[in-house]
This record gives sequence, C-alpha cells and structure tokens, in this order.
Amino acid sequence: MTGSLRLGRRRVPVEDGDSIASALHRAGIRTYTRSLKHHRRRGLVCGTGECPNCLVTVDGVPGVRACVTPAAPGMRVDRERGWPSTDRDLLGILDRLQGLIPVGFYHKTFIRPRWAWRVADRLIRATVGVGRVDGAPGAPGAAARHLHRDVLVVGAGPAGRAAAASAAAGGERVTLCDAGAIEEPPADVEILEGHAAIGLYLGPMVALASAAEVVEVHPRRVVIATGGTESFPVFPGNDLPGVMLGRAAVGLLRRGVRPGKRAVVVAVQEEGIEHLRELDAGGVHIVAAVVPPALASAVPDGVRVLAGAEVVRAEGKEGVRFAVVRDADGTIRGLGCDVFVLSTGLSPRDDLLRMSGPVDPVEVVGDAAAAASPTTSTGAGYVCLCEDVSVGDLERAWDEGFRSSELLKRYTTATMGPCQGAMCGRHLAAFAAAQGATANTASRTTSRPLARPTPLAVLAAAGDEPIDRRTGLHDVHVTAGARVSWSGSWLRPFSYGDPDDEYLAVRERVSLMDVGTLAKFLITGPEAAELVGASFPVRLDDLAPGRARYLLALDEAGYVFDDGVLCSLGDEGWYLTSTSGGADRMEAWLRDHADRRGMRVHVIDLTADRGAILVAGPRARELLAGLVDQPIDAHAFPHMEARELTVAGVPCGTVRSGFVGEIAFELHHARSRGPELWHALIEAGEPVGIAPHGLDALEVLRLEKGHPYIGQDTLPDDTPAKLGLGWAVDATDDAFVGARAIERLGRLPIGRKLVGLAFDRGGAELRGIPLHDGTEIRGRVSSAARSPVLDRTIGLGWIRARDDRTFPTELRAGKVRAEVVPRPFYDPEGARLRG
Amino acid sequence: MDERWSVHADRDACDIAMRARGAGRVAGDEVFVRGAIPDDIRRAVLTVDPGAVIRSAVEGWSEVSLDGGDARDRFSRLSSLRLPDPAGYVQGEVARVAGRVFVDGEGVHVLVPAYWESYLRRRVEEVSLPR
Repeated sequence: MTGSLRLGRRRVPVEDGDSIASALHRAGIRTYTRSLKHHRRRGLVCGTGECPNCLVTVDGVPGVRACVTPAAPGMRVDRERGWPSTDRDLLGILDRLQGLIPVGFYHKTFIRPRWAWRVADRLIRATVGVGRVDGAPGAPGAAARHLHRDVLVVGAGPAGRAAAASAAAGGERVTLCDAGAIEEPPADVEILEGHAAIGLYLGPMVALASAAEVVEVHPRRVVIATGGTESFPVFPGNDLPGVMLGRAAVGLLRRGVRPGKRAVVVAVQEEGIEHLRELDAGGVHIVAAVVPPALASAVPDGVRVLAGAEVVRAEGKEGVRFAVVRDADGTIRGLGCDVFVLSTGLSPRDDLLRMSGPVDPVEVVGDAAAAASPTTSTGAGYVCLCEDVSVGDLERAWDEGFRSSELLKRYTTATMGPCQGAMCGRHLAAFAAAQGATANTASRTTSRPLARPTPLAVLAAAGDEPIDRRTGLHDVHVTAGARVSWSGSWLRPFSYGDPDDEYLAVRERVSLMDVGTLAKFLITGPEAAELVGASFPVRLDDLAPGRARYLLALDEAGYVFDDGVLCSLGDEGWYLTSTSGGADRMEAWLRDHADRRGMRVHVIDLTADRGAILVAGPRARELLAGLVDQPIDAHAFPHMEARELTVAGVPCGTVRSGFVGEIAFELHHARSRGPELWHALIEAGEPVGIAPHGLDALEVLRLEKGHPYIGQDTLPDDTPAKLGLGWAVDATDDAFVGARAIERLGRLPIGRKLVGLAFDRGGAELRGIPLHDGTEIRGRVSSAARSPVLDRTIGLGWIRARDDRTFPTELRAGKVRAEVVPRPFYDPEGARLRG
Repeated sequence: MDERWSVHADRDACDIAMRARGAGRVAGDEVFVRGAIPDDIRRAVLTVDPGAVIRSAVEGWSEVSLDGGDARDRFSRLSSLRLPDPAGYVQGEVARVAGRVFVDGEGVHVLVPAYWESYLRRRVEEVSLPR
C-alpha cells in the first residue's frame, strides 16, 4: 500500500499502478455517479475513458475520468450528482417518474406561466450539473502553440506506433500523440503523451489538448490510429452497476482488482475470449460464457458454455444480480452474478476521420480502420449513457416526427454527451435505419470538434488578449493623464481631465487632437485618377493640385460605407484620409477595383507611417503662424486646401480641414516625429490657453456641426440622400461605383432619413432611444449631447416617413420632446471654419 | 535593422527588387526589403517601371525579434506560419495581426504595422517567460 485517497470522509487505500477507479472498486465502491436525468446508479462500464459513468471530481476539478486517471495518495475524490449523496440519492425518485419527464419535455413544458421556465431551468441545472465552478480567478491558463510536421500519428497503440516508426524510417518528421501514456515509443519520433486529438480542421490541422496546452499541429499528412471502442449492447438493465465491457473488467484485473466474484461473460469475438480467459485465470468465477457456437471450443475448460445464447436483460437493484439470457433453444435462463462482462466487438473510433474532407491527406490504420461490429439491441434499454436516452425515448421521438438520426440527436440529445457518440452513435443510426429511414437520414451524425471533453481553461489557451492599436502619441497622452480607452480597435484619449474645458478650448481658444487613427492612403501611378474617379462619386476635374474635397465611399448598391477627405497631389497622385476603423476595408476595396480593371495604380496604406494632429480653434492660425515657414492666412491657405508645411521643424502634409467647425489644420507627419511636434505645439500654445481635447469633447463638437459618424449614426443601407449628403455625389458622373444604384434610387421616394434633432432636455443618454409620434415608433436617436454653446440638447436620429410620404417634425424620445431641426446646429454658414 | 523599404512596382520590376538581400515578396506588385536596397537594384527597378514607388518603411513597420535557440519554439506560440528553414521570408498572422516574418541566422524577425508594435512586444514577452 502506498497511501490513501479520500472519498468524502472515507479513506480509500491506493496501491501502485492504481487508477482512481481500480482503487474505488477494490474498496467496494460500485456506484460512481448518478445518471443525468433519471438519477439511476451508474458504475464502471468502458474502462477506457469513453463513457460518462466514472466521471468524478478530483481535488475540485470536475469531470475527471476515474478509469484512466492514476490514483495518488492524498487525492480528494468526490462523486458527482445525487442528493444528499450519490449512494443515497433522493432524486432517484425521478427514475420512477420517467413518464413525467419524457424525452424533449423541456421543449414543450414550463411555457405558461412565463416564470415557470426560469424556475424549472434552475431546478434542472441543479439536478443534472456536474461539479462546481468556484468562480475564483484561476492560475495562469494553458499555453497554445503550433507544430509543423510531415506526419502526425494520432493514437499510440500497436498500429500507431508501427505507422510512426515506418514514417520516421522513411525520413519524415513524425509526431506521435496519445491521450494517455505512450509505451515503447518508436525511435526518432516526437512523442506527445497525454495529448488528445480534439479536432481535425482544414489544412489539415489537428488540435491536440493536454492538461497544460493546446497544440495545433499542421502536418502534411495525418495517420489516425485511434483504435476501436468496445460495443455497448442495448438491453434492459444494461446500465446497472456491474454491467461492464470486457476491457474494463480485465483492466481492473491487471491492476490487481477482481471486477467481481461471479461473472457472466458474453464474448463474440477473439478479444472477448481473451478477456474470458484472463478473468478465469485471475480468480473470477465464471458462471457462464455466452458465445457464438463457432467460439464454443475456445472457452476455457471448466467454464459453462451457453453457445448461441442471447442476452435478454440484466436484473438487480443497486447492481447486477442476474444476467438473463435466452438459450439457443429459446429457454430463458437467469444467471446469478455480480459482474456481467460484455465483449461484443468493436466500433472504430473514427470521429476524427469523419471530420476530414475527401481530399484531406488522412489515413486510417489498425482498429480505427476496421469494420464496425454489428450493433445489438433487444428493443429496450439505454442507448446513450451520457444523456440518459433509452430506446423508448428514441421511439417516442420518432413517433413525434423526428425521423432521421440528425433530428433524433437534436431532439433527444443522444450522442451529445461526454462520449460524443463513441458509445451510442452507431445505435442511433441503426435505430433510424430499423425504423425505415433512408440511408442518408440513417447515417452517423456529423462529427464535429471537440472529439474529447476538454476543460474550458485549456480551450482558452487559444484565445489571446484584445489587440490594441496605438498611435505614436499614446505615451504622450498617458503621461498627460488622459483617460485612454477603446475606440474600435484603437486606444484613444477620451479626455484629459476636463472635457468641458477641452470643448471650450476648441470653440474659444485653440486645441489639439490626436487624429493619427485616421486611415491614410497614397494613391499613385499612371491611372490613379481613373481609379479614384471610378471608385468615388467625387468630382475631380475641378480639384486642382493642392485642393481637398470631402467624399463618400459607396458600395455597388449605392450604400454609404465610409467617408473621408481627398487631396490632390498633382503628379504624385492622391492622398486620401478616411474613417479610423475602416482602413483595411478601404484598402481592400480600392485594390480590388484596381485589380478588376487592370489599372496601373499603387494603393499605399500610410496609416501606420503617418501620425496626424488636428490644430483647431479660433486661435489655431495664431498658434501655427509662429511655428511655420510659410504664410497660412485665410487667403494664402484657405479651407479645404492641402500643402506641405514645416511646423516646428517637422515636415507636415497639412490639410485645412476639420470635423469641429473651427479653423483647423490637420498636420500629417512621420509617426516618429509626433511627440516632438505635439510638445512644440503645446508649448507654443500656452500663451493662448491651448488644451488638447479627447473624444468626449469631440462628440459634442461634431454634433454641433451635424456631422454623422459613419457606422454609428448610419445604417448599412443608407444612401447619400438619406443622410442628407446628396451634395457630395457628383451629379455629372455616372461611372463611379454605385452610380447606377444611386440613379435608380433617386427616382424613388425616400422612406427614411437622418435628421438633426433638438430635445427639450437630456443628454447623451438619449442615444438609442426610439422616436415616436404618439402613436407609432418613427425612428431612433443615434447620437445626442448637451451643447454648451447652444445651451440645449441636440442630436442626430433617423426617422421614417409616414404613409403619405411626409416626415414627422414633432416627436418624443421616451418622454423627452424632440423637434426635427436643420443641420448644422452651429455656424450653419461655415464662417468660422473658413475664417 | 536600420533600414526597411517598400517597393511598389509592376511584377517584372518587383522580380528585380527581390534580388536585394532581405527581400520578401508581399504581393505581385509589392516587395518589402529588410535592409538597404543597393543602388544598382534601385536603378534597375525604376528603369523597368518608371512609375515604381520605393519608399522607406521605417516609420510604418516595427520590428520585434526573437533570438536564441528557442526562437522558433517561441514563435510557434504566436503563429501558425511555417517558418522557412534555414532562412527566408513568410507573411501572415502573427499573434492575430498581419505580420511579415524574416528568418536568418540571428533569429526570427517579425515586422508589423507600427500601431501594433506595443501589442506584439507584449505578446512576445509573454511567450518568452519561463514556463
């Protein structure tokens, strides 16, 4: 004896080589758990880690397979399910109430009253749950890695080891993996013990999971050598403790534990005869051997042979006491026993193979490639041990119209438990076939990952932390004490401490904003103008070098998906800025159109190369004038022009454009020069009260100008007209993307449009609230904010036309009055931004 | 590596640019060079495609290197890319962002758009922690 483990308050001796199951079995434990729905006693069945019957909680970790997990002194083992205990489970009454909880009962009960399901749901979860999650933060999770190999062999039995050795001898780089230990590993082969293959994906890629890591293996070919699972025959009482498969019985014996004192053994093939001999030699009294006539002579001397007999049922209360068989002459015979051993053939463990496609380089060897033994069913008993599904359940489901193996699966949940159909998948298909389903509706159900139960903590190894993009000024903002948070995939400053003052800095003094997140493109090449003209509904013929223009990006349906500013660089091409989150789509979209037309154009994404700082406010020009090398007065550098300036020694592509409605300069600079430029501007701006602003202030500023955020204020099927941006479409052009759709849509009445809204109270919380006219919901508020300069709450929202095609003007957002008003709210003539 | 260049040119000119040491083919019309482009190659590219754009990528692309004997193993914790052996170029997802990967005798050099640099450094540090 090497020590003991604890089962509740009981100490269970552990010996060398014990699994948890063998230690428990030696100690007389026969009930390992209770079944999912009916709370029937469940004992050891497969002994190979397939079935759900020996799942226990070990040291707080639920779902541990006792039959394949080595026992260790000091372990704390708890059985799962059963109240107040697994041995004395009052919920066992459910077994007698099966008629009240038929298959699929939760699909059609607890519907009225509506609270009934909430109560039932909690009760059901409490009675069927496995283990408990403590909710406390766990230790650092498992790792994930990728592995590139010539060959991956899954399964380290004799066939797998031979395949691995053969491939290695041929000079291939081979990895051999197995969910358990690997004995006699071949030479020159990488060994991954304790790594279960949980899925086979395109590539092929095979995901392996161990307790500590997920390995995504990318082999040139896969050899599946996962062996076979012993068939589990279906008959009444087949789930009684003591009814076990041959491998489970001899597995116990090999660990020095007799599976029982008196055994009835059913053996239909050579492996079963081996089991019979081993049990006989191991001191188990064989009450009778039920074998086909052809194997009768192979039964050890002295063992009673029932040649050609068939299993009828197993009987017992807390465990099997009688195996009832029908002799070849029809005589029904009850055989007293405490263990009923079933060696009735193999089902290939082919779930991985069934995940592969026809062209995947996947081979199968050994028992995994063998034909399945015929399924046996007496027409009653449990089909799916995991989900407590009986033949009667399948018959009921069939009668209710679920007439294919896939539908039976979904309705009854058979095959959806921990074994994932390894024990019951063939029975389900055979049942459907026996009922008359056609071949394709009686096939095995689709095999999908995960092939083996895998802890969520291990799966989480493949999930990484959120990906953040940072501008070159990120550290500057953090140092300045900005509240930095997510804006799409970017980390951006929302405020530097006082958003109200930041707002006032823009409206009354001068302010900076990091707009380096803008998507930025250089479009150049001999046919750059053709690409721009064909891609956007923007007029180019009057856009002289050095001029800039607002543009919309439309898809083929004429719907707006982005907007931006286009600058003409003359012979050098075009400089395009667009929304922060849309760079990838814009680049792909432009490249796609260039490729489709065979244009000689280069679309160069400068988003990462270039930072950008917005200098805005009535004193912006005053600030910059002392830092630049050229005149920037309104005449020399008017609104919507672009030119190269050197600002505080930093070369900047400068655009007189902005989102905030004041004099504004966008300084586009080399990313690495951003901090230097920012600090120079801040220093120079101190005398005029400069303060940087973040997204909080911007939200108010842009709303005052009535500018929508594409994506936030718009819907996927918004056209320029619906957004009030029809002026941005060049009416003289009919060759841009979406032109034909725009022309067609232009003949139709507008059923919905984006409008400016003025509210009688409230603020940003109005966003998302439906707009109604007293009788019907007419739209929704998409943005709202309290405007200091207007001293009222303003916003944007979309509204639907009435049946008479007019639009409402007086609405309510909840109880708040909302009036449709013209945009922009602030400086409608644009005098300040042109100033 | 102090120099990085992007060459945007037609296919034939890009083929010439690929002669530069440390060149990786990003696309049919784009070559990325980790290092300097010799003058003769630069001239040849512009001769074949006068409209070619050869521009410094130092600002836009940040490099994070994994060196040491376990560089490939650590890289395998970041990406499913099959690294060239013993040296070469490959591109694709690294730590779930778009990466350009050069392998040479000194290690595995991952280049990503500069806005992902801090993220990638964090991920590289994570996979470099003792396990």
